[in-house]
Amino acid sequence: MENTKKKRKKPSSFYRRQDMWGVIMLIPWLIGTVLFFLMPLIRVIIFSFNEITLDLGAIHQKFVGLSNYIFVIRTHATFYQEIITTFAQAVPNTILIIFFSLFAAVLLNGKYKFRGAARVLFFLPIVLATDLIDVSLATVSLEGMGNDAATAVGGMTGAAMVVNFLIEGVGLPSEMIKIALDVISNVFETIKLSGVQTLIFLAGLQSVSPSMYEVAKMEGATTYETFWKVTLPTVSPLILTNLVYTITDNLMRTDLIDMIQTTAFGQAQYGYSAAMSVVFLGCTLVLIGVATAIVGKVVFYND
Amino acid sequence: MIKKKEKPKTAVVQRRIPKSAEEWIFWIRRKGGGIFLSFLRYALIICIGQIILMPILKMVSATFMSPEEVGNPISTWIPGTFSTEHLVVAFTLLNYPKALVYTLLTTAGQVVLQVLSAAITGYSFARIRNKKLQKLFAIVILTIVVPPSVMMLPQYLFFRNFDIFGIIEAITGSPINLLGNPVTLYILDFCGMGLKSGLYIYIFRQFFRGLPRELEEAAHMDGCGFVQTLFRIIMPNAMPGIITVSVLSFVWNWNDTYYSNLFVGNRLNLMIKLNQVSGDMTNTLWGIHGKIPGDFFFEHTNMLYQNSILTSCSMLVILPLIVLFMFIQKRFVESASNAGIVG
Repeated sequence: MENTKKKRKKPSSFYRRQDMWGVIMLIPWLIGTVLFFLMPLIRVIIFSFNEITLDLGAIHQKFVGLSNYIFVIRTHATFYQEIITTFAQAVPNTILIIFFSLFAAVLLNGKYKFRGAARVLFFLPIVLATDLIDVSLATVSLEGMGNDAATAVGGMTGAAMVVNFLIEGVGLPSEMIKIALDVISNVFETIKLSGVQTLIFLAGLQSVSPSMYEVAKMEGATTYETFWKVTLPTVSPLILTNLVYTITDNLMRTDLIDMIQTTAFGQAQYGYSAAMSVVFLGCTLVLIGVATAIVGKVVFYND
Repeated sequence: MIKKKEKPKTAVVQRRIPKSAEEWIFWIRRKGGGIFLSFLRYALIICIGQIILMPILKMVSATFMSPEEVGNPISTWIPGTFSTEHLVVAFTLLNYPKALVYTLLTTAGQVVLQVLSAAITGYSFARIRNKKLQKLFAIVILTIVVPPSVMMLPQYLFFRNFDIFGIIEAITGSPINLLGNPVTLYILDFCGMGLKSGLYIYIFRQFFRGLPRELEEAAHMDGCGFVQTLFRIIMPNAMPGIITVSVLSFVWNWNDTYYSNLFVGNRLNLMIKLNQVSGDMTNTLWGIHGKIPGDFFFEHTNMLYQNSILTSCSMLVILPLIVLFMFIQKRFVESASNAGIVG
């Protein structure tokens, strides 16, 4: 009896052991999640309803209800504007980055000479993605533009002439030109922020099975059709992944975060800072929720 | 290895230069689109490459330009006279060799911890069969989505009064202040809560889901223990994932100012130093004027001069990253595209 029992158990021992170890290995992460993620999140929400004073690291809380929120949204000089501009900028930036990174990934996926070099070049922005370097680079590139020289001569710059021609000569609405100009002037920013997204899309493109392309070719599809009917649907789940990543990445780099930080550590207004954080978090989650809901409808899942 | 079948010789397409005019027209019709496309492709790559590379080249050019020449419209790109003054001043300003070693060591430590914890967590999430525990993965997604700055204050307070279930307070009488100590970052990294750790866990989980379970079963059959399987079978197979995550982790930790400013604030860290220098150029420059040789230009209040110094400092800070990338780029690009981020 005992012998048979042992025999029956043995095949599953591998899985049982794996399950056990799986849980054990999860422990550090679980502790981290509770201590550094869930508890702080709850504490921030609690803080946002309290007036906080710090005294040598000891926290004194006084419940004040919603007044922190009311102050932050109604009375605070710049928070309201800042949050609207932040989120209004995040949307077009995200769309641009997604399009650019998909485009770049397609460009890097083809077979041609110097592809390796091109890939290295396109992934360089991942290495250089830092705000501090931007500061010095911005000044450098402004020097290099030579705009001052052109205006000093008295004429318009080449760009201004083209714009003038498009508005007056061709008769395009100036709003449209303005949007286009914004896109163009943001080109460096867009390229710089889309390194990881390109990487993800490229990985996706590599995983499209070659037999799909073979079928498309047999059926007489053109390159254009193949892209829309084969390539795009297969990478479309990654658009969702990239969307979430891009939005969070974009929001990590805004002035709003500096504001939250200075409100807390510069002005010692911990309650206000917590309320700002909660509002910011709420807006972030709403934006991501709406974006994924919209894009999720278009996404095609193979399985 | 199975030997590949040799292709029949008739299948080899011979390249032929068209001879008559009709053949030329036919050839252009057939290949013209391809040529145009590849021309467009190279043009685009060169344009985008120029946008990416120009700032770096500009940085190098500004670094080696002699200070008298800065702002001179004749030499915007190639300096007329080379000089290492900017470089030397930036070197002294950043306390470069010492800071470099310190930053390299701390960042390397962070990378090791982060990769280890992310790999282990990702592996558990990929292999665990308990449905309830699987659902915890939603929290990983949440950690990616929630900006870390939201939890800034509680985390700060946590490390301000660090204690493990009151044990430390019972022994020493008060909780310890871990702020200003890189240990804070190590703790966060090890618990999978460091900078972008959620993303790494996600990458690893997707990767391990692609590895067949038979691999571990076979190892089990051969009498491999769990830990042994993990380090002998799984990790070597996970090399693409490990390389991708290590590079990303190194780069982002190196460039990070948020976590290191909040929790460590150590002035030996290159990024923090650069931050501090760019905040108050005049005074920091004046602070080192004793160490600068007398024959240097050194106008510490000159805006253009300050700018060049700042550019040189930035170049010195990203130089290790560029060197690293040069060495690892081939493997990184390969592994990144095979890392199974797609799942």
